[in-house]
Amino acid sequence: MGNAYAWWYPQEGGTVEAIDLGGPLSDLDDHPAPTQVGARSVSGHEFSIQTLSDTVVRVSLEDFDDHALYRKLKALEGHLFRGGTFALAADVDKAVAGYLVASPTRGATSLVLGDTPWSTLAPSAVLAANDEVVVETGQPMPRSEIALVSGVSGSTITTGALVHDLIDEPWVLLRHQGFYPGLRLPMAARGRQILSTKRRVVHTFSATFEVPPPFYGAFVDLASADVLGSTTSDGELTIEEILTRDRPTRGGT
Amino acid sequence: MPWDPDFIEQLLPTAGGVTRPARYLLESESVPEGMPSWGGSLALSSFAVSGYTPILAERGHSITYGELTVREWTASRGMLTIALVDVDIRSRIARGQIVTLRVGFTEDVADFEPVFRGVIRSHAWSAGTWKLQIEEITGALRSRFVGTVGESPLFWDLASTEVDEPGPATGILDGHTTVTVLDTTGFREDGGGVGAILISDGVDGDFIDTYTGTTATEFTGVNDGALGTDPDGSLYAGAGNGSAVTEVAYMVGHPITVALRILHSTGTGDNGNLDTLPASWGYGLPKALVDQSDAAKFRGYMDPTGGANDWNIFATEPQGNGLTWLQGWMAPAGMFFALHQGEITVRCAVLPWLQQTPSHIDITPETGLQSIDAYHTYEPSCPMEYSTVEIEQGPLNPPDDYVAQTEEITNLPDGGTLVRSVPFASLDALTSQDWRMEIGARVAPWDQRTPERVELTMAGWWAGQAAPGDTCTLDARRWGLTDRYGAPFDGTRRGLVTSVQPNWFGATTRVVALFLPNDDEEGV
Repeated sequence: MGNAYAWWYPQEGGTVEAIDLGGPLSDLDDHPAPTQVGARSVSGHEFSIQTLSDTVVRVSLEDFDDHALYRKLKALEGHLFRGGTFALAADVDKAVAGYLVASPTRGATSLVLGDTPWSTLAPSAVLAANDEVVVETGQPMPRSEIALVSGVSGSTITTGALVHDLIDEPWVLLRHQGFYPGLRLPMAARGRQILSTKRRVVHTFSATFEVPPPFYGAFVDLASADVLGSTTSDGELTIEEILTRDRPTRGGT
Repeated sequence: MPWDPDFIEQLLPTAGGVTRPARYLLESESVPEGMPSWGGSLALSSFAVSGYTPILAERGHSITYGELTVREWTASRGMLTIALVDVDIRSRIARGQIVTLRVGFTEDVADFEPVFRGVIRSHAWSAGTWKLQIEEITGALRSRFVGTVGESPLFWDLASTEVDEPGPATGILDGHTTVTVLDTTGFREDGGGVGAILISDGVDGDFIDTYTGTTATEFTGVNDGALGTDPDGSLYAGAGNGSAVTEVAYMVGHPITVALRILHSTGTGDNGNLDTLPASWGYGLPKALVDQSDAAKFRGYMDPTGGANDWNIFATEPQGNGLTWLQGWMAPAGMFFALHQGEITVRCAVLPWLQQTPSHIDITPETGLQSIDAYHTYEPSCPMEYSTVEIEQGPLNPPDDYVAQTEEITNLPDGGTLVRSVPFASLDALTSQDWRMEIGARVAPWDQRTPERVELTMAGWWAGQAAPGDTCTLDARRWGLTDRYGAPFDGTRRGLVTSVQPNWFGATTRVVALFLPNDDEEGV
């Protein structure tokens, strides 16, 4: 099992900064945070709409004494307070995420990975049997489930039968459960301490992040030249460059 | 085109409380060739979809729709405010550009339905958010959609010439059947084969002639002193050489049909079968923006018993505010514009106990009735009842006016006599009389009796399929609400919807309905 890792791009057109977090995370947890409004008639009939759903991710690395790591996370802290995005893997050897070549039906067990825009972050990461993967869709009402991998052969990942029928979805993302290709601090959290020190001996990195709602949709259908970290005329393509493009994507966000 | 029934079904609250994914599109509308596109193409969305820019903000939107005022038969105009994230779209918009808000619940934009259509009125930035204000499209009918100076009024280019009878005549005499002029070029008619001209500096006063044919210098088949300019034949319809002859925009047809032709006409005939008038006589609204089928239904409600139903509508000068001119002859007969399912339509007042309109809604707890917000025994905009309503129509018809008379005064003060003066009429006296009876039967009851007013809120957007002028029923038994005669609002009595306010960014719809007493049924 590999260490937890974080990746971020300090500048546009620059190279990626990879941070070895020195071991496993202390805590990693997520839940959906939908934006809904609703009303109920006097008979109890209810009408509600959902326009968006954030994914809230709680990350904690507690009581580490590696001061070099602290310095690296300090640089990341400023980037996050400026609204920047970073990638996080609970296990660098499992930092796999990509889009399925076909949207699966309920009961599907064979999932074929297509585009993997974040593969340059951890090129040697691979999935294996007994890994847990998340299968999820786009906005405004993403569907998500965790599937247990039973086997991997090239791009084909065999899992337990999927619960959701996703055949009508324009794209479906598959990622290792501990890998988040894009996280950022919610606007309200920028300015609250996320990196702290106890008696100047041990440090803690702890925050609640969000997956920007349009994040996964922004990477769909990238041309091969647009793969994250590939060399362009400006240098390497960063997460922020892709997020800030005024470019509609295939299907939902 | 009416909303898809599957879309309407999704606007209902459900027993299971299903949450629906709401998506929004805001896009500019193509206008007929030859009319400016006003700044280019705008295509915005609340989600990422090919062809659209996803910059609709998460919050900060608001929407209101116009409310119909009975008796006046005019409506206020709604306003849509859209909040956009900090992206500059100024190169893609212009004040006056037609835009449509569409709502959908799927990924496929083809499933989206228009819920508001209007024209951009303002665009402003504050604290990182742009706000686009869009006025309901009826407000755009003040002027034609043109970019050339001088061409914005309706009928801006009425032709003119002079009387030029050949010698030894020095002009035209009363009873003339032809008019010789310098040049008939540019004089147009509505496609029905009859045109009209206004002759000024006449011997006794200005008068209008209708004509059925033209040569290069002559109007033929003339009926002089027409369109009420010589109602009793006493005018000497003659004029000397050199007298001004001006084109009259003369339109014959059912008034709702004429209003639709004015909305559609481009002068090319390419905008559907209602595109029959010369370009300057119309707005050239793309036919997809007009609910022709809804207007046709209401035309059927406005049907004199004699069978013939033409009016002779005309304008002798350009109309700087076309909306005011239209309302000037529509409103007295109880006609009004409305925005129905995102499209502009022409409707008329109905008596709810006689008609159930196409988008009639039954307001019940199961269709979303959430609360009765207010009840008025007497609609505040109707401060009195008129025991007598006289219908005058056009310049042809006095003194044979139609009079609607009630038999009993039910509340005070009694307004006495109200004169409803309808500017245009049929040229046929019997048809015109039938029209006065029709207007008297359909519109006068709203003057003679004061309706009750109910304001309510519904969960969901299902009532948004209706528009001002639709009928409704109300089941308010859970509130124990009764009408002023003591009968419960139990869903059997029909009322008239005057306001529908679906909050497409929230989850409720506010409705205002008026319940008019039916003297025959209420025991009054």
